[in-house]
Amino acid sequence: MTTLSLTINGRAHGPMDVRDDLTMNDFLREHLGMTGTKFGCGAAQCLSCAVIVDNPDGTSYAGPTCVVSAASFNGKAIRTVEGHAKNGELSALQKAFIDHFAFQCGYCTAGFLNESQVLLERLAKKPVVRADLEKTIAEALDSHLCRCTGYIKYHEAVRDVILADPGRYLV
Amino acid sequence: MPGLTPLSLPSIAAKAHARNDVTGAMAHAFSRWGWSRATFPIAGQTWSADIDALAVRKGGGKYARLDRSSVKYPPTENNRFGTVFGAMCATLVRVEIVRATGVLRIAKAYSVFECGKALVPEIVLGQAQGGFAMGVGYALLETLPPYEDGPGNGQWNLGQYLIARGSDLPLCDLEIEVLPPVTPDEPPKGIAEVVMIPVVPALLNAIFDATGRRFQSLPVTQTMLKGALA
Amino acid sequence: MKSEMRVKVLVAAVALPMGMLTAYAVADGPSDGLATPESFSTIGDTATRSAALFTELGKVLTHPRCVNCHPAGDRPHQGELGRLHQPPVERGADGHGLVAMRCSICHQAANFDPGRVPGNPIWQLAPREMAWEGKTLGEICAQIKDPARNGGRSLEALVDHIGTDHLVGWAWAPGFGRRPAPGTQKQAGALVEAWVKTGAACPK
Repeated sequence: MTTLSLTINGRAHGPMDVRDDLTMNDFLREHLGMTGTKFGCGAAQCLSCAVIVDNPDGTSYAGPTCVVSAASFNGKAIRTVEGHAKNGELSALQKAFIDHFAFQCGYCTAGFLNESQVLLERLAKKPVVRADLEKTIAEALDSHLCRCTGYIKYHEAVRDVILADPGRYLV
Repeated sequence: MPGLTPLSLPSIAAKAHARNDVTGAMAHAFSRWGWSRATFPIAGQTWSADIDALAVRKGGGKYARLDRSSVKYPPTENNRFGTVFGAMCATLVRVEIVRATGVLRIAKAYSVFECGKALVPEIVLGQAQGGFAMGVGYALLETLPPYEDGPGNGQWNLGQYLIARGSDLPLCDLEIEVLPPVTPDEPPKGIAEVVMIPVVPALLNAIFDATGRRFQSLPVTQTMLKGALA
Repeated sequence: MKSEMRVKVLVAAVALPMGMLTAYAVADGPSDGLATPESFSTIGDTATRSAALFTELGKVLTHPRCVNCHPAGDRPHQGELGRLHQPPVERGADGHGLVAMRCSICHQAANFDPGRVPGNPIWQLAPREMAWEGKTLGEICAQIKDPARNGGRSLEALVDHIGTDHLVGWAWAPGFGRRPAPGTQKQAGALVEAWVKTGAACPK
């Protein structure tokens, strides 16, 4: 058993005792009822289960929750798909996903959303040239699997969010 | 029958030719979920069969059509049966294969189809893009071998059953053309699966074009391509 | 004719479950052992004995638990059959993964069996110059002795590294679904020590 305290979407959770063999995915979905994060392959292959982890140094990454323990998130701050909209207003990425019809069944979408959000924040700190944009997006999203869409509309949605604010994301 | 010798075809034919009897017949048949049936006068008798035209030749002569005395066709209502209202799709791909490693890259792809009235065109387009990805997986990546080493052993996951990732696809070079409906009042047609199907033979034909080798079992992997080019 | 068919069907039905049992045995069964250095004392010639000791150590070095992270390229391997690691991760600038896919995101400080994921505090790929994949034992031996390619280690440091290093030690406790390296880390260390003491000769 481990005592777990963490921040999810800006809200503190715990302290609570969790079994050491409890996966983070089960913790989110079963214990907290936060079912926006999905369980796909259970083997870190598809990343439908990915949440954003915010490091103390200001960097963030999107990581799987299906193969890591809830206990390992003690003291961490994470963001899930439930936390993207603010005061009922969807984020720019969420709006773009909808406008572009970027998702079909929606199962991989939370993962794509989190990974794209991390990419935007990374570009805001370290912009790229326009010529490298498609390649940058493709590399960032390549770890996520989707069986429905063939990925293209996800990429176009992310690209258009970036192109709508070039001063922020592009050199 | 005892006491009689069997008749060989050459001897029957010789007799028929000598007597200028019927030595050949051609028939035409028509089906509309049921065969047409006709009656013909022939050699002083009437003869009926599930055909609608008959021509015969006598001896070494030319074929002459017999006038039928009656014909009955299946009702035109039968045209409703078994009609399929699916769309047709065609795909074209350009592939590049690295000789030394067998790595294949899809440089460019084009799929075209007509689906009647597209109710939500963006979703039709998305389905076509996803279908292309599925075809790539089917042709180049996905494998489900039988027996102990296959997924039946309960140990497989997406690490072994490889499906197409973004890096396997021509994300910026896939053109989908949706043709306008054939008639103004064309209903919507089903396109869920058709957008995947021509991708597979397109890839295999492109591989043949590039390597001279026809592959007949899937997936066509990097190792197989490397071997074909060696 | 009919009885022939029935026999064939029965045989196939029996072969299938037997095969599946074998598959499970491969994944979870006990590892092979390692011979002790003493068992090589029958070899009179020192150089030959030395090479034989290294060949025995080679059972560890060429085991999937080791080769998977000593790959020839920039991608780790996975499993017992040496297939490429899925998801397709890469070495990155420091051997700890690419910017968006650091090894430590999934591979944490210890094995996490519910996720079937192995772990160690310094999970990483061995540097390119320490690649073993596809090399003969003779080539690995020459490489492992060469300070320019073995991280500047003396032979004595090699004994320490293979015999006591924590990440190396993971190979003998790899977690669910992975066969451990042969023997124990102590036995492997003993083999290295005996090999060094007999002149560290390489097999051909």
